Amino acid sequence: MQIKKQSGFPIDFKKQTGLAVFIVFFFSLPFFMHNYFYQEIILLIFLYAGLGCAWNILGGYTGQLSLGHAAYFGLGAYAYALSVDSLGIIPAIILAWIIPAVLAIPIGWITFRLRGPYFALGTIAFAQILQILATDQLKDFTRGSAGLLVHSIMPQPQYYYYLMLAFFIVSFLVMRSVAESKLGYYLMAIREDENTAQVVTINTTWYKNVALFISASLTGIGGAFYASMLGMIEPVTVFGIDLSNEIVFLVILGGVGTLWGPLVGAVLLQLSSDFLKVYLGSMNIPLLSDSNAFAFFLYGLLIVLVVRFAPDGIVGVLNRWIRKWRTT
Amino acid sequence: MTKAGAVKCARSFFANQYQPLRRSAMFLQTISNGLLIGSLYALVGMGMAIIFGTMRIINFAHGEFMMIGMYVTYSICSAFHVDPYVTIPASFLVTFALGYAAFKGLIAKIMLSSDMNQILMTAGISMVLTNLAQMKYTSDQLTLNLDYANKSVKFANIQLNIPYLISFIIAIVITILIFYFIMRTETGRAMRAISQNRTSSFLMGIHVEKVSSFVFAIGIALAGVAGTLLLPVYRVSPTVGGGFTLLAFVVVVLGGMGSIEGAALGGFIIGVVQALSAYYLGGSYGDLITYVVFLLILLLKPSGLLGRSRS
Repeated sequence: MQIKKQSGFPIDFKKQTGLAVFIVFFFSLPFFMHNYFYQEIILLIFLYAGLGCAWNILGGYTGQLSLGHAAYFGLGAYAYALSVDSLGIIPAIILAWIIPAVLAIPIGWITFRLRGPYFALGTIAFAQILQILATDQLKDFTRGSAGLLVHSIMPQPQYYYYLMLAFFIVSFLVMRSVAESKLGYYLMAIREDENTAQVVTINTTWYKNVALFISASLTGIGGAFYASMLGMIEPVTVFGIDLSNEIVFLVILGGVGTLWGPLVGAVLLQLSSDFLKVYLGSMNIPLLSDSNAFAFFLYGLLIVLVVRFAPDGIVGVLNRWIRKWRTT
Repeated sequence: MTKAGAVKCARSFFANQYQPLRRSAMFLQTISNGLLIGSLYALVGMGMAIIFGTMRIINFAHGEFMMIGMYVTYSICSAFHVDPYVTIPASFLVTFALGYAAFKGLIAKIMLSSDMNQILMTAGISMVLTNLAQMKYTSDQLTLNLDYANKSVKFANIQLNIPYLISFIIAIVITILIFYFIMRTETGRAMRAISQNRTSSFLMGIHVEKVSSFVFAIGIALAGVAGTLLLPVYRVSPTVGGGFTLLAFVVVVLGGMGSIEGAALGGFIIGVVQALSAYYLGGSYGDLITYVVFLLILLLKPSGLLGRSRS
């Protein structure tokens, strides 16, 4: 029997090559591609892919279908927006990281008593409650649906490209290290069969809460970055159910519980909505005058078709093809 | 003093000073308003409960099918200038056909798939429907101009708005018909058998897929009819469905998931709770309290008011 020799070096270079090439390529991209329109599309892809990675920790690896991630996103956005003027940028980002994570503890404590579809419905209810509170009861703080102006993190709008790239990479690395650690194996055990996981002495509630904690803190930071990029936030955009759904859609489209699924899904969705909006907007087709609605129509159709014909998502299908190609 | 506080103070002042009887009368008035709108919630919720009870699918597109019913009624009424209540058969047939097609083409293929895929499929359908409606009708809020829209009948000190009252009566009739269908007909019996045990009913010779597709279409059609009944008292826009989908979840969980009589009861309770909290606490508290009740039910009595214990 042959035992593979482990290199003593702490970083496995072969494993990092793909990511390193990715980082170098996208870091240098703005130097030779000056079109700000394309940069903005790529930037949004990074934001959504980063949020997707954060969701994937809970929804993909732990198998807990959270449909209320807008709760943490909105908490992060409002935590940043309300504190940045008095505290400064760095403490505000730290607050946007801590507040959603801390609030995730009671939310998790309550919702993790529920399983399956009941859990999904419970998470929706929390996001909705926060949205209503921010719109109405806490209007004195949040200025309600009039919207809140947000101080920008970056001195120049072009730099947001790098901020979102950094957000995606951090989110991706956190997700990968969770997936490849002992914690990740516990989480996947919970996903496969929660009762069995409990029997083999995994404290399932604790590990689900840990997954939610990590996921919520990353989502909160994403919310803060988004708020500062947009310059103005209102409850319906940052707490709304559309945002929660979008995060879930892109991960499932790309491939739930896979490393590159969130990025693939974000690329597909962003391109399908943005390019369609622009190109259909320039054409004059009678029924398709509302290009925004048509883009979202195709987006919904894409989701339906993927679930119907490729329930494992795009990355799942690619993996299956690769496996088939290797065996034959 | 805040503005809301001042208004509240003034309201209680006038209530005490001039009309000592007004407070109890308003209470009864609010409750009856809640019951009137609650009958429509019950109809939407029953549709979802029938679908969930028979095939364990949470339909995230339920409110969007209701929106389709509203647009069918709107189109017919604005084209032929007929009374909206005449269009009930049309919206029933259209949504029934849509539901049947959606089940045969999409839902039936993922019946054995994970919860995640089922939720995603129905959410995808809801997006398709919302944006189709937006392409056809734009995002304007449309409403019918009925000549009896603001008329009401007085019944023992309580004002009952006529369109609400008509919708209420029709909703009650449909509810009774549905109960008759489930309890007395052969298909209804098959449906109850499937909801108790899918595999056994398959073995007992029930054509599970045939019954399921019929039941799915009926559930969707109930939402469509509820849309027709809602149109005289509500504005329609492509995004109207999302809120009603959430509301249907609340109603169904409150009554006990899959329990049809529970959903009917849940609809009335939510209607009254919303009306009371909106009147006594202010507009947006209606939704807030609804969701809080929803969470409390999920936590304290997950089987709902009339449900069997969940598996």
